[in-house]
Amino acid sequence: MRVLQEVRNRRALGPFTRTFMILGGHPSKPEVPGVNGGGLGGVVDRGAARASFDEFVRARSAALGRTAYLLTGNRHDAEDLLQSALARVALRWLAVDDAEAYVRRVLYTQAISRWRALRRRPAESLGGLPARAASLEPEMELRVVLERALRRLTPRQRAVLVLRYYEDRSEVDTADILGCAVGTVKSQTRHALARLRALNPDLAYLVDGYTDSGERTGGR
Amino acid sequence: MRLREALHDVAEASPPLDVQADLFDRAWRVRRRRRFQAALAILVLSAAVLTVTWLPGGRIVQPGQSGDGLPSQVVTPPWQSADIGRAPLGAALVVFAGSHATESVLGHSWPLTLVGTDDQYRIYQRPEWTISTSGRTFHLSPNGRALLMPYWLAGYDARTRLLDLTSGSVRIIDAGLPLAWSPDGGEVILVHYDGDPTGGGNLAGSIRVVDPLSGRIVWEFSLPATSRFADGLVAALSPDGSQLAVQQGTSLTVHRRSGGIAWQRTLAVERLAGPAAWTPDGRRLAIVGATGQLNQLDTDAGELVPNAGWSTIRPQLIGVPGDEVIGWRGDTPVVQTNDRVVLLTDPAQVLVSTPDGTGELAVAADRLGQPPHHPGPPHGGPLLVRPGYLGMMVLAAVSLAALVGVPATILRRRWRRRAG
Repeated sequence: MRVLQEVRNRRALGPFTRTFMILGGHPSKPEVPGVNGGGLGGVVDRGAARASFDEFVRARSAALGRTAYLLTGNRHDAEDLLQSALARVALRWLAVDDAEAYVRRVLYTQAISRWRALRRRPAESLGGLPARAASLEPEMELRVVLERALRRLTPRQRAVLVLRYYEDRSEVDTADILGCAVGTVKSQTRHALARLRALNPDLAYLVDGYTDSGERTGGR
Repeated sequence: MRLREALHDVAEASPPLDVQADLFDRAWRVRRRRRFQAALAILVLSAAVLTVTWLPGGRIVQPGQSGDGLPSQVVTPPWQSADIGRAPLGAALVVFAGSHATESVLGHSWPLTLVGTDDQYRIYQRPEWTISTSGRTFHLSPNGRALLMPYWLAGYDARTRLLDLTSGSVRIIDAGLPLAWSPDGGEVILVHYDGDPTGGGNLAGSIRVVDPLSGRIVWEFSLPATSRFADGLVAALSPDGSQLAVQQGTSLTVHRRSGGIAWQRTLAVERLAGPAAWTPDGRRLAIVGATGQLNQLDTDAGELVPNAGWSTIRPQLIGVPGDEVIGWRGDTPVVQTNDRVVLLTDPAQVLVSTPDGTGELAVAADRLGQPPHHPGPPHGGPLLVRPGYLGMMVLAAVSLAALVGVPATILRRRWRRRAG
């Protein structure tokens, strides 16, 4: 309660003042010592806010980067997406309660944003997927095929697959994060899995354990 | 191996991503820069809007600019001229209306065109078709700052709509239907009927002199019951405001404000010459003869004054319904017809002319003493308040964005594809 009251008090101060204050102690944020003693309720300078943010980036950017890579399919766009999301949380660093959840939400919503799609680089592979890549180990080969196939999905289909199967989110959570209906999540999942099957027979092996609605039918 | 494991494999094998070391500060710099750019854009846009608004054609007229005579000619208002409610004129020099309703997809309308100083034109869409006991459907105040119009709620409930041209707002005067302004513009003369004047049968009523600001009746006297509504009712207040001449049918009566009737006489076919029928010295009263000639009555007793001097001057200019004396330049009457304002010199001078199709006209009588000026091109008012202008601006902006933005996006994509 004290934390919430403190957040409310700080929000009442206005954005400029809040910039120079920081609330430490939240699980998703590194605790930052303040000028007046740090911790809860301490008024700190901008440098402390920056330090707290940098620490968060150091700790979580690798995991967040992996999600960004899955969502975009290439390093350049993944970096762009991740930095965009981190920059956004930097501006709201003092107001956001759960920084990682905020960044993840931004990652997903930005990944399917139409405005972002307008300035996204064109897909690197427009041709058909190779049926076999004889020079690779089978597992590595499957990964490469999946990676390429993911690039052939729509951003929203990719986001649904990543949320459902990479992050193991429920349909309701997925719909909440993407800001769409549960029915949309179901249909997008079904279309995405069907497309993966269609793109390469080897990928059918990956998705056969799932129904068209995305529910598992058997063991792994 | 299933999809979940495969996705984790892809994620684990993804290349490490670089994150800029000074991302926190950079984010704030970018925000500051964007806010600055937004503020700059708003500033530029505001400057552009103000420039457009104040461009020739969009100048806003200051109320009550004095020293201007009437325009010698008024024309059809520019397309999409601003409504008087959205861009008040301050004062109108000329008001005119077409002889027929304007047809549009929205139906019929009876717009008035108002012409102010600096050749500014405005439109007033009258909310309803109207008729008047006096034959006129609008009366401009001598200073041009207010316009009276009949306002019929129902046949038996007739009032006056007062359009304030300095603000574009409308007020309702409950006391009756408008007949005329007093010469100094400080009072309005209304008629009140005890029933529906458009119905048949004899109907009594009263003449009411009202303060237009408060709506208070300052002078009232009864009218005899008559069925001659369609014949018109003409009233003219003397220059000093002490007497009011009223013609009802063939009866011309001069009432004293102090009480009682000064005199009364029957006119055969003549009629009171209009709201400015009293000469400026108050000694004569102009009446229009059967053939259109202008004659004078002595205001002491109502006797005809022979050899008045006007009767032979272009009598064809006056004598048809709607023609009336609206003011004086010295001893010379200024006559307003349905589409012109004429000074009855010999030969007569046209002071104001209107476009073809004009059916009714009113001018600011206070300006009659000044020489008319030759008008410049008409201006329809501030661009931003003209009907549909904002929509056109948005459409133009979207079109421009599409014309510029789409090719720019295509070029950018091509460039990136080549660079990649």
